[in-house]
Amino acid sequence: MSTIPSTLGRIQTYAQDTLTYVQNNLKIDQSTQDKAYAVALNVMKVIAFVAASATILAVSCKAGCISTILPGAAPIIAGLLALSILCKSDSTTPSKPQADSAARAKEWSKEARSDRESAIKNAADAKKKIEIENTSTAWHNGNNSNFAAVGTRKV
Amino acid sequence: MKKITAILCTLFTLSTFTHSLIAHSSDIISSQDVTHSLGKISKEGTLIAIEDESQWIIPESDSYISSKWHLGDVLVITPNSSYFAYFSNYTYTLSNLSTGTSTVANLYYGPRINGALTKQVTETNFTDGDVTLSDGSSWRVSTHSEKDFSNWQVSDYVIVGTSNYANKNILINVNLNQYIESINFN
Repeated sequence: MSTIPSTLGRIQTYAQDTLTYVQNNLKIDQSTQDKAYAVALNVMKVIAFVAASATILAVSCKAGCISTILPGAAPIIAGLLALSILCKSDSTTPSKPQADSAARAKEWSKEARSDRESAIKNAADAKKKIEIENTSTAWHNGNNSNFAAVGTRKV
Repeated sequence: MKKITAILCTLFTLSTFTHSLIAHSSDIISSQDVTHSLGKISKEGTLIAIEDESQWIIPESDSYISSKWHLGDVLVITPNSSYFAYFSNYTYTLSNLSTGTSTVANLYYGPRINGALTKQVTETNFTDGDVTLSDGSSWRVSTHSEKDFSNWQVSDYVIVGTSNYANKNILINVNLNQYIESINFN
């Protein structure tokens, strides 16, 4: 039994070393890291779900009768169902870093769209102004100073 | 409760009646029926000029109306009195009596300086609220326009329009880009 903690300790150290190596030697951008994290998380959840289901099934079979074990296993089944729902909802809901990235991207997208719409409107206004000014200038034989300007005196 | 309602109704009726009496007593002479003639219109219908060569800008959303107007059509200029006028960027309404259509508009350029049909202020009397224009017409300014009228100066350019109130006109001061309600008495 004393070997279990030492084994876990070695696995943890190995995992930490691997992570440090990846972080130090591989040029992976934040977005890819986020995606990898999300995929790994979902894979782990699926493995946990399958393992738990298999365990339940094995125990049921060993007992020889699923119906006798069902009442006792009801809380566990409920927990597994909850876990499956959680897995499903987590697979559609991005993880925290993903959510941040998504929110940031959405915000940038919104800003970009707003900027683009504003630019289009400004361009349309400018075009209209030029058209009107050209028409006006043509009507005035190129000289608007012969006409009373509007709102020149402020009160 | 019934008594209070009856008193309020009576007060409202009395105030309405009194206001109508006052309004009618201030209408010295019937208003001048001021119409204008469409002098020019741009291809897009977003800019028009009337007989004094003042130019009026029309929103693109209404250009489908104004683009059907023709030179010589009879126009009336009134303040924009639509339900959404408060939220509108357009101060006036141009009504085409020839076609029976109308659109909102803003004054873009004033009339031609020294033009034959151009009107200017020649005299102001702030005590009585009277103003005389270069065409010899005299106008009595409505009491609620007196504050705006106090900023008027001799030689300001003026375009005469029609008020939304019966028997009244509007005088549009081009230099100030504002209008006042008034009644023609000469």
